[in-house]
Amino acid sequence: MINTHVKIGKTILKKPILGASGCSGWGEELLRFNDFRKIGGFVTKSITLKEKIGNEMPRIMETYGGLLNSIGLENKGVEYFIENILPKIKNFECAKFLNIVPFEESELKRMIEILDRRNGFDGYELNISCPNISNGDVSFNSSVSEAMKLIKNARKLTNKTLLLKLSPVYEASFEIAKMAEDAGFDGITFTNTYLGTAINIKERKFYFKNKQAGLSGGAIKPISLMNVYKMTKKVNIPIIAVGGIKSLDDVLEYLIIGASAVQIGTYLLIEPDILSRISEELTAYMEKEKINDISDIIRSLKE
Amino acid sequence: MTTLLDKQCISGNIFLLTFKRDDKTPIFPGQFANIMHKSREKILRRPFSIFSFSDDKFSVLVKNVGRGTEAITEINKGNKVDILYPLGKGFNDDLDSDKTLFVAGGMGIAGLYSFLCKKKKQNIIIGDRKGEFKDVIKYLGINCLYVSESGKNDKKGKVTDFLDMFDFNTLLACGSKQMLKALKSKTQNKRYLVLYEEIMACGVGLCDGCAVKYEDNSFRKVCTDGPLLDGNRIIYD
Repeated sequence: MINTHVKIGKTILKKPILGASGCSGWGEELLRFNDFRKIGGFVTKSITLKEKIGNEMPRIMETYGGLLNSIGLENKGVEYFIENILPKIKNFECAKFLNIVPFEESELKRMIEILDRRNGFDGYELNISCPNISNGDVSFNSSVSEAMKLIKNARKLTNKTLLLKLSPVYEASFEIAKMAEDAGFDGITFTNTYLGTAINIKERKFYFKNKQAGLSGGAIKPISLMNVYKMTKKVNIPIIAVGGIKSLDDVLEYLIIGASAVQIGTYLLIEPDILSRISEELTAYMEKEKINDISDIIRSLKE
Repeated sequence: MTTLLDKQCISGNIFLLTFKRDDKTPIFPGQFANIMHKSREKILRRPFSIFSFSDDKFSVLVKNVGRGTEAITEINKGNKVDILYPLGKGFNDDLDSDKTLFVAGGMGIAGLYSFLCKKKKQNIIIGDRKGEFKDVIKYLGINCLYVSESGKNDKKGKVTDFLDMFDFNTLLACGSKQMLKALKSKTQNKRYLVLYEEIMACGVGLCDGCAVKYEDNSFRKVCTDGPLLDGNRIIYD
């Protein structure tokens, strides 16, 4: 019997493959295309304490082998999530993480207080890394001391699985990850998108109203793979790798280099059944290669 | 995977592609198909209104405007194609065809065609700014008021110049944002439905990429809340 289970915090993933936040909708949109009993799970779109209006159009642009996005964390807030979305996803037979975005310390506390009383999800992916919010440079991800404000007490707020999503744009992310490990986080989700932009030539203006956007897709995979490798040298808690995954080979590369699981984002938008497909391919690969346990792949890099 | 049954070049860079229907999910006017392609440069599927459909096949009208659409028009008859369909909310309501005015701007006809009742004459205006759709309209056999800004023998002007010729309480339009916006100013106290087009990524509600803003500052997703939306509430710029 082949074992593909991976444990992250208190959560057991049936397969080390999840849908990434922002590309998995609220989970229910994936139901039409994936058999949830056979995939790892998904991370919801970002949830903020209060309703957050998204960015103006245009929000997306294709690039060579990638995608720029400037969506802007559009969501109706935590209360709406609890009333309208949680009841729909709670019975899905896979792991469900809530991507939460606080804009200040008190918001994190408040959000987890509200959410933690409920069941029907596995844990939180605390996201301090979104590039698409324009209310000044509030990124907690940009400095170790800023990040510390959110991270130090987070563990005390919940017993559920707690992940921290970090940006590859800031060098501070590596130190922040180490701090998160010390603070009791169960895993690091890494990377997010890279900052990019595009120009509307006809109008000689930035293509995005927000000027900058997040670059994802195949174009970033080698860079994210390198960043994940660097992260493995920094922390011992599980790393959930994200960045341009579109095939089983991409998944294997990330697992071998040291990730415990992966998330698929951009390619979920193109192939919404990709979680099921690659999950099946992983089992088939392990059968063919006579690998009985996924732990024989994870961090198996020969250096 | 579905099969490309037929491909007709209708005019210049405009093609009618007909695919086999491989499942029995009902299709309604206003829905779309998100088609995968083999372009090396573009990674997203390309969305097209379902132009027409029957029990065993459906068609899309494709204008070749870039690498993605080019790759789609290069698919050979008999080839397997990865298509997600039908997507979007379909229109499952009755239109009083005598009191409905259809307004298409250029390729907008691709979206409106499935709403038309083929058996009787309907109120249709097709605006063709550059005069490039004449052959398409002829090929499709659409009896309409043809409006152009360039042709010598045509009704000259914009579609909005000719609305007064029709008695209608519902306007159903598909075309450029500029045209839809101009129509909005003429549709007070009328039902104004637009088949809205926007750059789209997933087409299935995952990403919020194809948002459209309503006057109350709330957003709708074109892919899953639309593409048929309330034209009187949309902010077009």
